[in-house]
Amino acid sequence: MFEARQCSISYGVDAARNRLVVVRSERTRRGLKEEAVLDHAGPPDASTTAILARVRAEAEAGHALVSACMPVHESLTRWIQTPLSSVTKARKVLPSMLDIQLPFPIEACRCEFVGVGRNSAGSVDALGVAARTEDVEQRLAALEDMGVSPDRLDHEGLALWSQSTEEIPPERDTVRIVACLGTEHAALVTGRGLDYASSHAIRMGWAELEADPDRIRQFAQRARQVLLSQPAANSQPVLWLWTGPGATSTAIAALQTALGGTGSIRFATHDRPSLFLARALAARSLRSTPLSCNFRSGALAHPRAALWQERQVSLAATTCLVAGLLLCGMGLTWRAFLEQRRGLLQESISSLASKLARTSRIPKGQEILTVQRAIEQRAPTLTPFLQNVEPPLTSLLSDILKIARDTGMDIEALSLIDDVATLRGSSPDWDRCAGLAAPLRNAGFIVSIERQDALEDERVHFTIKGARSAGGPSS
Amino acid sequence: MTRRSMFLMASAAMFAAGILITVQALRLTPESARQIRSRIDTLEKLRVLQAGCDRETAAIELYEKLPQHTPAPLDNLLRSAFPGIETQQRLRESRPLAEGWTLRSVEVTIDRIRLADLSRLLDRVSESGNRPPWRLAELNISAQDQVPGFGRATLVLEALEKKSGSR
Repeated sequence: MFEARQCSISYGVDAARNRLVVVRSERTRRGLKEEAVLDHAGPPDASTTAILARVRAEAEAGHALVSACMPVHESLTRWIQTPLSSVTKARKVLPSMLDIQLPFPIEACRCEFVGVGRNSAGSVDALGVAARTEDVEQRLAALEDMGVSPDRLDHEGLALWSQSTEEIPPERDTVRIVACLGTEHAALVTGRGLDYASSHAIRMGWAELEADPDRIRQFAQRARQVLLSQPAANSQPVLWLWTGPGATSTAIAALQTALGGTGSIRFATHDRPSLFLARALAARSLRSTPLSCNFRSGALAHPRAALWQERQVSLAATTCLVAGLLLCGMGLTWRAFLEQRRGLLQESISSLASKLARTSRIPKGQEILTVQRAIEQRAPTLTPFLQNVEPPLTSLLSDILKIARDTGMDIEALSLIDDVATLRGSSPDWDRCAGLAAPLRNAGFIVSIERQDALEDERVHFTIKGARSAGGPSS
Repeated sequence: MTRRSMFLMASAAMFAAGILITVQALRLTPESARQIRSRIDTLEKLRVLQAGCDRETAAIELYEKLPQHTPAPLDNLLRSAFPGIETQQRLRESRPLAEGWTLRSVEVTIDRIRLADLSRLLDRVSESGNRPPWRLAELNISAQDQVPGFGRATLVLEALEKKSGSR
């Protein structure tokens, strides 16, 4: 459904002999906005041609999609039940299984498989939609003759069913028959709930039905046959929904009377029935539905679609090219950024290390070690400068001598060498000598005091020892 | 090969190259980030070492800025502080330092000094004025003759000096 994604405007064309209906559908925020562009009976005239030319021009410009359909009597649908549970595997056998059911070789027709999915039993079911290639080509040629160049060629029955279930919500366990009374034929589409069952054609136009009561009888008989082919149709209510240009004709009343005796049957008519099919075709181009199909694919694809696909490929390639360039640029820039950052840091390290170590030859990664060694080597020649700006030992000595003098302690020996202090003396009592340890402690020394009992001089002799780590605080 | 198919191939090749380069860049990022963190760490450590060196440089500059680069003569200082006291001096060490400076280390022995006066002596000696100061490096005091308050002091005084003409 790439077309639906591409355009927000679609034209649905219900084309029959002597009748042409065109509906414009536009996707808006509130949903689809529909507008009847053309509802013409009889041979094409100038206004019809002008409208179709305008639609064609819009489609050629890529602003809109045009959708028509294969009539039910020129196509068929078949439900295929596979014994497989894998959708991928089932898809491979679907053509062969459809081929068996076709009255003509599958090679001679266009076919699609829609609604592929697992049923309640777990095996894969699919709806095969097929039309003879020759019929499709003839239909396309006929449409071209009318001035219509469709991007999509839908299936009439599926379009009627989708639109019917969209406009009138399905009732549970009710058989629905959508009867589209056209100018040349009638299409009967059956199903239950949301599930599509089958499509049938009755080659009678609504005008014939109106004119001939015999035709009404034949129609009813054929309709009963269709109804009987539906499983459980006799036991379940049936809802007939009339649509198409004949839905408002006088034939409807007669048809309802003729069909009325077949059980619990109700009748209703779709809104704006003459535009119904065109509306359905336009809407299906813009909506993604599980039963979406397009006979105009492969060799029969519209040149616009092929061109669009080519443009999409070019766009994807351009996007890849730009993305690749961006990624290359970003990747290389990032690597360059990391490299530059590393380089700048290494430059700073080398420069600072050279300055501190006073050598230009420093092995990479050895900067700190080299600088530390250089500083250690220079330390003996620099330490005295720092020592002379630090507080001197003089103040520590002054404090010790002052405390000794003030407290009546005698100092017998004092030594301050290389962060080791030894102080020996005597004190009038036991506790007083502890006062001498205070200035040493304040200067960062770890102090121990040894005292001796008073001797003949009645004084307590003590030894204070202190040590501190090199470079520790001075007094 | 048509131009279109060449364009498609070039686009695909460019996209593949972009992915490849991006993946490589992403793979290299953790290792690069680790190296950058390690270098920032190294730089910070070097800056700490630089701060120590700056302190040394500042100390040298302090001396360089002094008007005179030789300490006051120790003899004069001792004599002016304690006239008449006998002192013995001995040059203990003369060691070359950075930037042309020399460390002079002098051992001074004073046989008999009132301990209370020792601080005054040292204050006087360490007064620098416009010259590099003398610094007390070692001190050894021992009481003498059982006279309280007096003792024998051995001091090691250090001073920095720079002869004129040294760099």
